Amino acid sequence: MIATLLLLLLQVAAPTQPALSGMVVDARAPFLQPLFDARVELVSDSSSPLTLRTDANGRFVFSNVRAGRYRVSVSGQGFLRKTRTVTLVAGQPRNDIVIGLDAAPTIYGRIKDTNNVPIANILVEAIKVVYGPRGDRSVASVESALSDDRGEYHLYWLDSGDYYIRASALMPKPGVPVPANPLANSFNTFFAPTYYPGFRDPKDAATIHLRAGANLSAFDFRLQPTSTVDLWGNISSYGTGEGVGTLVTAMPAGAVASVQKFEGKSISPPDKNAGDFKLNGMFPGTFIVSAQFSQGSQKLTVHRKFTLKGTERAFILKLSPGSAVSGGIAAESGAALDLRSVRVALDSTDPDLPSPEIAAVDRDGQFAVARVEPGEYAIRMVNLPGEAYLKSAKSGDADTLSKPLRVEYGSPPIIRAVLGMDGSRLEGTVVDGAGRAVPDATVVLVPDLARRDAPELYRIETSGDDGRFTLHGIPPGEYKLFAWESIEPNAYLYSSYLGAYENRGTAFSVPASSSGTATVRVIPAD
Amino acid sequence: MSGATGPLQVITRILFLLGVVSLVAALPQQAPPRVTVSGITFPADSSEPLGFVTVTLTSLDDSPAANRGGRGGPPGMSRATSDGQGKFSFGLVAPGRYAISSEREGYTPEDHFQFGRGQPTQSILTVTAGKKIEGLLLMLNPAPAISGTVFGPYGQRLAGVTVQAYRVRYTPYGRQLVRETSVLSHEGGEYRLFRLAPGYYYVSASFSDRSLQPWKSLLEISPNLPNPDDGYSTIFYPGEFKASDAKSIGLYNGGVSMIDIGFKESRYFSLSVKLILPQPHPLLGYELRNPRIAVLPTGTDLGTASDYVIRGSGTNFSVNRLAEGDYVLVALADVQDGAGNGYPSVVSETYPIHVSENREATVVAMDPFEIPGSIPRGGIGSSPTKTQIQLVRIDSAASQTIVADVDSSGRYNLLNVGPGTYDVFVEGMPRNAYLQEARFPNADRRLSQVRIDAVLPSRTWVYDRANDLWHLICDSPIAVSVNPNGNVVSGGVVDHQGRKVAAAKIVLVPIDPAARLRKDRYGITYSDAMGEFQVQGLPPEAYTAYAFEKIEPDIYFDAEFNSRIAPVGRPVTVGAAGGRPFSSDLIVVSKADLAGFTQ
Repeated sequence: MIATLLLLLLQVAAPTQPALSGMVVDARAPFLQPLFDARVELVSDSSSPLTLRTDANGRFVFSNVRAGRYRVSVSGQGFLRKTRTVTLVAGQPRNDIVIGLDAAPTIYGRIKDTNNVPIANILVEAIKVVYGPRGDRSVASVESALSDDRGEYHLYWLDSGDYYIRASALMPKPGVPVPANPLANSFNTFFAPTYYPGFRDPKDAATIHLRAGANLSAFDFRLQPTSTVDLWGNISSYGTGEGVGTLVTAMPAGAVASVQKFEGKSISPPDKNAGDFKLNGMFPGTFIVSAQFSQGSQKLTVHRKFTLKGTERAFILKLSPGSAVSGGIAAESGAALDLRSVRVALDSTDPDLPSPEIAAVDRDGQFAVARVEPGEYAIRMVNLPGEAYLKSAKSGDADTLSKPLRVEYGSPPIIRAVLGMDGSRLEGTVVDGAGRAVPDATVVLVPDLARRDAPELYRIETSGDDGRFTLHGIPPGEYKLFAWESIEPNAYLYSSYLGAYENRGTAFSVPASSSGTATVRVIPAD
Repeated sequence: MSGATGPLQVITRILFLLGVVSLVAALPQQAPPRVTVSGITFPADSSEPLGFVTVTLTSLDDSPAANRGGRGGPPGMSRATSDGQGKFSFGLVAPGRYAISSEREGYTPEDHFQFGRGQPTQSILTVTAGKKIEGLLLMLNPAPAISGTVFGPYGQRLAGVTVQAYRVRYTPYGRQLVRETSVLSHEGGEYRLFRLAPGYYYVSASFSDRSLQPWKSLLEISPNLPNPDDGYSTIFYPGEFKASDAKSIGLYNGGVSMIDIGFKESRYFSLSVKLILPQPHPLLGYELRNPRIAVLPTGTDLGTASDYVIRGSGTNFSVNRLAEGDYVLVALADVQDGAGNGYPSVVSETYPIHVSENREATVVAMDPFEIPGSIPRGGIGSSPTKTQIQLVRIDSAASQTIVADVDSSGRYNLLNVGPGTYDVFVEGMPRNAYLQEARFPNADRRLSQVRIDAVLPSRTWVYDRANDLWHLICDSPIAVSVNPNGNVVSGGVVDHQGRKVAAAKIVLVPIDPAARLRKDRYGITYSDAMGEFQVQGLPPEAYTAYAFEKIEPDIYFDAEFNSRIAPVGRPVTVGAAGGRPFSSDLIVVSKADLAGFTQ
């Protein structure tokens, strides 16, 4: 009884410690310059995010936070967002979190026409090169802005990286809610998308290299008026061959804003021109043309990437419900494995085209990925047991690891996936030049030159709070280990990307079924 | 021709000759000689010409055989761009009357022209056959802009702030703000509002996750902009939470007004709103699509309600940090128009609330319905004037107008009418007609208002087989009666020296308070070049008449303004006799006189 009372008293008397606190500073300053009103968000998988703002001393305090693994995400006006992984152990408050933010670069300039007259309400985009799961390059718009009456645009606070700048006319659409924007008075002069310093073809676009704190001069360029082009064609169901009445949409590749899409409704049956559609008033460029249609209980879809150079009158789209891609996974050794936690993903090799949903695996190692649209895919398996790795995956005679899996309008031959059981594990730490641990670095284990084209041999991880990482299921062979402070996802898969970094990786051999450690020097963002 | 030349043959020959002559005479008339129209574009602030101005000629005549001189443009319109020296020309312009307009970025669009410096400004160009027009002078004024910086309560510069410019709309129910344009501030907290015509504006700044949301369908926002979260409450220049306390900014040709706006900390409270939805239809299962609640600052445009939607779904909505102040709650739902485009529609009354503590509120939504009806012959305007029936929500806190076109047989169909009290107006009637009465089962006859709630008027679901759609349709039409013979009143305007005043604005304000609440009961016209005026379509009433040299549009609807200028008005009674009820000319209220009454 007394013991219980004492225990209760102790609990009441124990001071409540802030569980996680720290400071946000300006990393540019040589001394610790606190940042006021920085936004600090505590994110975990198990609870909803908590958000605070730093005070005048740059401090933030989270009280009563449960033990667990958290991502502390910090952003401030004018700075690059930073994320730090923190593991909180029960009874051990962390009051030592100091996060330094780097100044974020901005691109600005003026858009004029060939007569030097400024053009307002031009959509200017910062376009980043992105990579698909097999290293295929595409572009994605990461920020956009409108020019004002002086033609001036500001693409502010971009992440470090390489960019193109693209300017295009804004096409307002009915039903798309946009803030009141003075687009009345626009002369209907049509400007095709133009890349800085003034080219229509993205291959000629100048690459702008942005680094933290960059102070850049203005990027001005001129647009030329052009005629619009039309995209006419027919959309039908692949299964029945009959034309279909539905909404056909064309979106510029890499665009995000719905206001940039072109739409047209195709003629419905029983008209003899059923399926015919017209998208008028488009500009030349690369588009993703898509549509969907419900046929009874089936949902038919189509996504097609197309580069429009001039008016096209015979563009064919075929809707299909997608095919099932099935297969079975077995261990090379023939051993029985519990694969129920494994997931099978088919990633579209083109980042602009959709990927089907991830499929589960049953007790017998069988899986079926549903509704796969025609296209090319990279097979990926996650949550493989122990240090197993995907050694081969054959669809009929086709090797779907060295080349992407091609899916047409029917199911491809059943995939026989074989797991190698002699995979190895590699633990390690990412350090900087001074030997300090580097958290949140991207660690990539790259196979030797002879096997560079096999994306399934690469292993990728992010270093934790303590700079540590673990790579699993490494097939035996020769590798090089790299760590980047920041890198565009999948860039290392792009054939020539690694060339510049080749001598900054650590080479070594991985024998079968082994466990090793490594320390790797980070390649800084600069 | 054989035979004797008798009288018939002579007549026939004469007729034949006449026919040939008239045929020959007719030929050139079928293709009237087209002419060249040319001139120079200038900026108002320099003697150097302004290059690269887009000039548009629009035919004012009904005949479709309009000119086809310049490049581009729909029929009846042609365009040309002036060159680097400001010179422009249109070839092959058919004779007729034209409007000429000029546009260039950075300049206010201009509808007037002159035949040389110092010549009178005109707005209609008459092109006569065979007579080319040269030396037209188009003068454009540099456009004003509002530019500045947005700061947080502690002096931090803020990017990602929505900065908006509003015009004032005067209604008999009070002043409302109509949003003109909106922009986002960028790095450094800087913004620029442009393409504004000279006039008076109010400027507001908003910063929250909600204010950023509408921009996301248009722009990809900076990846490093911190989420505003609940942000700061909307502030009106120079630093007021309430729109009614805001100060207007006067914009003049070419000026850039430097306006900095600072957010303030204020007390914040939580508001939770319970939305009561109508019962889903028992058989059809029809339900309101995507019902949601919007919390708008009082005095703004219901058309912008989508920008103020709060968190929640189903029947429970809430906002955690709402600054102390006055707001209007309203429920929105998605509806589809005939073409299948979806857009938000107001489906509840407007609920004004004052927030000075944590509180709750309830909003009742109603399925919106259609009101079909017809207006009598006398009210149908002749084409190309479009006749429209309008329901204007009577609400000083939030403005909304629902319109429907009236076809040539007088029929209309008002769509998506939600609950509320509305004035009924018919626009585009013949010049001397006025709306006598617009009646509904439960409304005040004299005021021509309709009141719509969840019960009255009754409504029924009707199936449209052709489109496989159900429509909710009002059982009773709005009974509209039109008097095609309004009273015509004439008079003259002079200045203090007794000289006739041209282009003065004449306003007749009804004395009856009920009539004063209806815009269509005010008689408004301009005096002509002789200083004479004529007002048509007036109901028999007692009025106070004014003549203004220059006046801000619609300000005479404002009750406060009217009470201030009452001393200089002239009482006049318009009866069935009409005619000239003014014993002497009206004396104009000059700009100087007006300055004494306003501000």
